[in-house]
Amino acid sequence: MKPWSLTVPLGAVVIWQIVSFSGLVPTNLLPSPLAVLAGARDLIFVGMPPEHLLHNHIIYSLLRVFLGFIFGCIIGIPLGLVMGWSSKAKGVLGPFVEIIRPIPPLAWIPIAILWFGIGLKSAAFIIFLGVFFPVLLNTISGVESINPVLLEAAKTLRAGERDLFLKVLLPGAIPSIFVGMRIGMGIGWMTLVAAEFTGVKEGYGLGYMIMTARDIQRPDEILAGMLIIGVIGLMINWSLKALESRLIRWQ
Amino acid sequence: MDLVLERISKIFPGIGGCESVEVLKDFSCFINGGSLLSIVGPSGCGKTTILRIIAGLEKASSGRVLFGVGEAEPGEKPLVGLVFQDYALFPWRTTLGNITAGLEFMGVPLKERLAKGMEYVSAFGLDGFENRYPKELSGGMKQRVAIARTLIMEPGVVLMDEPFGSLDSQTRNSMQEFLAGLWEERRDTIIFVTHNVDEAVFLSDDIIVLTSRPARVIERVKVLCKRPRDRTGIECNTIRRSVLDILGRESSKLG
Ligand SMILES: Nc1ncnc2c1ncn2[C@@H]1O[C@H](COP(=O)(O)OP(=O)(O)O)[C@@H](O)[C@H]1O
Ligand SMILES: [Mg+2]
Repeated sequence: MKPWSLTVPLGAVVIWQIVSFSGLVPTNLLPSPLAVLAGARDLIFVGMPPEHLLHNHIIYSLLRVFLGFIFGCIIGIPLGLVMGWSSKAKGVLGPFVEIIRPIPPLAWIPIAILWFGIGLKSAAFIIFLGVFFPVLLNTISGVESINPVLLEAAKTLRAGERDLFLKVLLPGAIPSIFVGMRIGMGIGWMTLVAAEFTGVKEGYGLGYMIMTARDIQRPDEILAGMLIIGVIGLMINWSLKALESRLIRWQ
Repeated sequence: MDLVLERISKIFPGIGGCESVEVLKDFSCFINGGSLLSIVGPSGCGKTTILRIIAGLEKASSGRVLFGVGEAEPGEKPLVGLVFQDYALFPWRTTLGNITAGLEFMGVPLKERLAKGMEYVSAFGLDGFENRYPKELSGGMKQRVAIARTLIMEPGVVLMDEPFGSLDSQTRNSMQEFLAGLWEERRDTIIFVTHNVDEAVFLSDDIIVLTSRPARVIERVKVLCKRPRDRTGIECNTIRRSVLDILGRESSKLG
């Protein structure tokens, strides 16, 4: 990161603070940055609702996202390899995918609650849907972008079907799979918060936390919660990128 | 290993209203085990198709490929190695990983294949580059990796499809010398496709010159000059002249 890349965000905070001081905007709609900082402190030490501390909200949210993400990958990647490899499989499954895909993950919330009840499973299912399609589609296009000569080279080197899958198609599609995972993670993180607005039983989760803050009129904690959600999303993206550049040094 | 191509034809069916293409018609040819045969001919005449049929990547429309006819135990299909013009290295594997890929596919234990791989790394002048990825290698190095990857399998027949076609002429010459030296030691059975007559004369025991599509053998030239060869020597020049004459007559026929 360059030093000047922080100038705009810092400038925005300063202007925000000035606007709050001037009294132009009522503080119950836009609390000052300092108030938001205090809100963050309360989230950490007091909890929202009280006793429900921030780190527990984060753990629950990450757990849901992680579960949905893992399932999205372990189903999306192999299926994508098969669909990218065999035009028959793509012909059979493609139309089904095309029909399901445009349904927004959030539109699944009611049926997910019916199927899995309110709680971890339904939230993870919503995130799974957000992750699955980008991973699937990018795996397919990753496989299709592999130079067919590489497959022939592998065949002349006595590669069996299994080797072709695991040692040619998979590594060849990895760069594209990572693009899908990052898009999917982004969508998953967004849908998580919305899914927690409605479907949380445990009383934990970042989305649940900021909705509770709204219920009891704590705009400082709402804004603090929003910023925390943003920062965690950013960190997840960074770690995926770090993993990616380690795994595909060859590119 | 001896190899015989017996009356091979290949017709690519036309797709969507296109005319079908007859690339090979009753193409016959043989190569003696342990010799190096070059195929030269106009581009598009079917040289790559011939190699792909021998390698089993393409099915002949009719005709047969026979391996090891003159030998004690003919019949069983040996390993056929193919070296591609644009290297076809696995970009996600290092030099050593590419060279040992075939051994890995065949289930050779890790230790054994790494040891053998390092032997080839040295023999191919790639010391110090064993952990580099293909994108970090020069064209000549990439092609050495590709050849090592094929030869480490000890194939019965080695096919090379214009392997030096995309190298600059300096690198090309040194690769030819490298291959000639390697072959003199190992005596693999090699079929070498090229459109460069100098290269064919420098490397081969036999040269076959093909017509344009459908490919037929116009002439089979024996190159008897002793090795190591002098590429500008009188013997080489005489043979080069006669091969160029044959090609010239063929292309003037096309007008
Ligand atoms: N899969 C294919 N389908 C249709 N035509 C093909 C196919 N492969 C090669 N051909 C045609 O066969 C001819 C010979 O091709 P090729 O063997 O690659 O020639 P060369 O290697 O001698 O340049 C070309 O005219 C090419 O268009
Ligand atoms: Mg060709």
